[in-house]
Amino acid sequence: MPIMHEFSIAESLVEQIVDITAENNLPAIDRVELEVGELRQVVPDILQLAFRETARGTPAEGAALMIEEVSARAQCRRCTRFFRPAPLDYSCPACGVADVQVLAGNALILKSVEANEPTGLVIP
Amino acid sequence: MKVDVVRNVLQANDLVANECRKRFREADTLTLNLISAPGSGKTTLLEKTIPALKPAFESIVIVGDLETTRDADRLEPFAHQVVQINTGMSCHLYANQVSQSLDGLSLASSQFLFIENVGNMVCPGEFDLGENLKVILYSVPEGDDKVAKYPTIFRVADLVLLTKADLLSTLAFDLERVREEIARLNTNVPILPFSAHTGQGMHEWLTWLRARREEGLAQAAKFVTEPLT
Repeated sequence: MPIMHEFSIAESLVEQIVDITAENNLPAIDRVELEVGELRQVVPDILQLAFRETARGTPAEGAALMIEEVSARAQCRRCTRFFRPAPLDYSCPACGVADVQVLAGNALILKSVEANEPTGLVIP
Repeated sequence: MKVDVVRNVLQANDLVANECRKRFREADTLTLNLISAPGSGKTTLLEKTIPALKPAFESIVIVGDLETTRDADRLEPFAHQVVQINTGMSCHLYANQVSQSLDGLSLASSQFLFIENVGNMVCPGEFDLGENLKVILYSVPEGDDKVAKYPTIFRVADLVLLTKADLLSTLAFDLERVREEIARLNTNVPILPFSAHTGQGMHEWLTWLRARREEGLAQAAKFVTEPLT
């Protein structure tokens, strides 16, 4: 297995989906919504591949992974200015110091899982 | 049927990491996560550091590698206790591996715990192990272009040790470029040129370690994953 951070993320993601599936007594999952902050530098294609491989043999096998990218937002600790940091530049446009509280853009949030409903089965 | 969850994907790891951090605090052990590329000198750093901290301070080491006990064997003569974790194909340590290791250790007998992570500049930055501080080793032979390639790890560093610094005079390494690129990511992080070969930076490194211990154990290292609000 290639050593890439997308695989570590996919592994944790599949574990969570398996837990949620069990907690909610769901059948196989066919759709997963994931929010990925742009600062995580996740390559969507590699995450898709990693997810497909990691999900094999679990209820998430074959599920469609919908990746939504979220823009970065930070606040300078020095001068309190809000700005959008870039992956290689966290320095504040006002005071030039890179000492920030990241408010958005670093998250990896599992937002929802959707189970397919087999035809002929009525869910009460 | 759709289930809305809104969960941090790395939540399972973060919960165990918080448990580890609590155990470190209770044992009064300052824990450092050493992160770097393979071959940057993590084990050599510890071979020099642990004896130099004695007799005032004892150290425990948890070391992660894909295979072998080579690093643990090297550190055995110096550390109070050493645990080797073989991660197989995993490129970083997980908090639950650290947590399991703690069961066999007498934490309270040591003032420092060094976690030597698997050699990798990407994934270790994303997995909280419960440490108080992150130390990044960046060796001069790796070249002066690594900050922009692996920005995440420099952004969350509490100290950057520029190892094999005796080679600065031999290799074409633009130290100013490195300082500028790190400053754009993390202005306040100290960058310390260090050479296990000549002893350069050793005094400053030990002073930094002792000062962090003096500050206490309440602090948590910075993480790329910010808490859910």
